[in-house]
Amino acid sequence: MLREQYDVVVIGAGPGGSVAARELAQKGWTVLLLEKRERIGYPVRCGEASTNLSDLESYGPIDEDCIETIINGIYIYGPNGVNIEVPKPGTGIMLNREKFDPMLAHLAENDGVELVTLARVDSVGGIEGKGSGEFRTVRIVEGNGPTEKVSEVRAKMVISAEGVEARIGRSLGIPCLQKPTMTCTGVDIQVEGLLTKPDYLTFWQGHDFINDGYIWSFPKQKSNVTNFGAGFLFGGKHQKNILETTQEWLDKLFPGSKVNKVVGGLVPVSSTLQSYTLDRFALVGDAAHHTNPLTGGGIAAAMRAGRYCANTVHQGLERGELSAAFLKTYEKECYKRFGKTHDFEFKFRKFLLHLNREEQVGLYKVLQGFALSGYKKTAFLKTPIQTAKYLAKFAKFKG
Amino acid sequence: MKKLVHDRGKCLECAGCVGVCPAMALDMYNLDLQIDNAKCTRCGLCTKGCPVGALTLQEVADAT
Ligand SMILES: Cc1cc2nc3c(=O)[nH]c(=O)nc-3n(C[C@H](O)[C@H](O)[C@H](O)COP(=O)(O)OP(=O)(O)OC[C@H]3O[C@@H](n4cnc5c(N)ncnc54)[C@H](O)[C@@H]3O)c2cc1C
Ligand code: SF4
Ligand code: SF4
Repeated sequence: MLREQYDVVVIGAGPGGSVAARELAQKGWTVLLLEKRERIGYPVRCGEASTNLSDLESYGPIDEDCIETIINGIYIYGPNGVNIEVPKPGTGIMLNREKFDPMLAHLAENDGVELVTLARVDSVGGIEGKGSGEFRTVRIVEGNGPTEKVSEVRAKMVISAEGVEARIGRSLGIPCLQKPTMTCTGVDIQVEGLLTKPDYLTFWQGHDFINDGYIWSFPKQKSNVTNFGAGFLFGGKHQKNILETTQEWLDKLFPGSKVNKVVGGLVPVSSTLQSYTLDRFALVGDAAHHTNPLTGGGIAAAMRAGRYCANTVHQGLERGELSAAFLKTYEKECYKRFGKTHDFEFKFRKFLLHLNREEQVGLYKVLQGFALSGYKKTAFLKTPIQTAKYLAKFAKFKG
Repeated sequence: MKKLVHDRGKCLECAGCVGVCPAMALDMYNLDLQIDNAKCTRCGLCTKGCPVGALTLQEVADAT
């Protein structure tokens, strides 16, 4: 039975929403977490590669079952056979999100969050009431079809971690629509066995493969399967859809692979939205385009944003101040912690995309040199002219 | 007259199409895609955003 009023209503029980909800409940606020899917995290819409274990563990104890592989490096197949290897012990984790997403939601529940699944937020109203009594009305549809039940609750603050759909954010006027040149469409084909180096994330990128995106092979050791996937800009000049394209690359690179299942989805690659808070309302994660615009990784960013949002909202609730101006603190924190880097990576992605094959091969050679030297400054001295050329080109590049 | 047709057999239930539709004509109820034909402008963006080609604009006699 829902209450009439909550301090905070969180929309979407993905990584961003569950973290935000939990951290606010831990501080003693009443929190309602609403997820429209019946099964949290199912179907998975992800390649499941994420940040390192200690980073993840800062959000709570991570069940062994959720961890598939400890990642010790990355390998990139670039154009013209220029490949880059970057060993980095413990740099990341392969997750099992079918288990990880529900686990995060249940951690939130254990800390006092009221979690309701099969509960779709239909609308969030404007500001009502006055002063410290201000609230937004959240309209919820529970269940499906003939058994559905509509109810309304009041929230002092609404946090929407609604993913790429972002219907609520858009209905309140935030420009979170996924645009053709700023969004990748992707699939992940789960294949039997381990196709590539079992503790490495492997990528194929550039003109010889997929230029406005990439191909990936991520090993899930515990399940003995590989997430083989790819993504590209959906507004690009592609004749075939991304599933057909990925299947072709799978047949070419690993003929005879046995496919278990296919999942897919959208990846925002625009870098963070200019602004994504309103009075008593904030977006978190994919809805705010917090996804890394170069790698497409969004799990860690959504969780970080969820935490920063919870911190700001906690302070705001204590002070009785949740105006858009106050919530800027949250946006600023995101910018400082990852947004700034994402803006740089966004520019780099567009730079890479605009280079012709020959220039791209040159750039890959420079990057290869850096990787071989372990990213020491002396690498610069090995190819000073080439490196300087690309640095200058990049600095001038307007996008 | 064109109409947006959804192939449930192909659909991955990924909700991608919902995120690209400028007209807000699409929504997911749990895992069921809902198409609001009255809102759909037949712009075709969702047919490109869909990773598997489960959405197509098809010629029909009556598009309502
Ligand atoms: C093919 C593919 C591969 C990817 N690979 C990786 C990868 O390897 N590593 C990585 O880090 N990231 C990857 N990503 C990105 C990653 O999946 C997302 O960035 C991440 O899930 C974002 O988390 P979130 O909490 O913002 O949103 P989500 O995880 O999308 O959660 C949003 C939730 O909100 C719910 N919801 C939406 N609207 C409503 C509503 N109105 N009412 C109630 N509930 C609602 C949805 O059902 C959903 O459960 C990939 C994405 C795709 C598509
Ligand atoms: S054709 Fe355009 S308006 Fe219609 S559902 Fe698809 S994206 Fe929306
Ligand atoms: S984008 Fe395609 S696969 Fe995904 S939910 Fe829409 S119709 Fe289904």
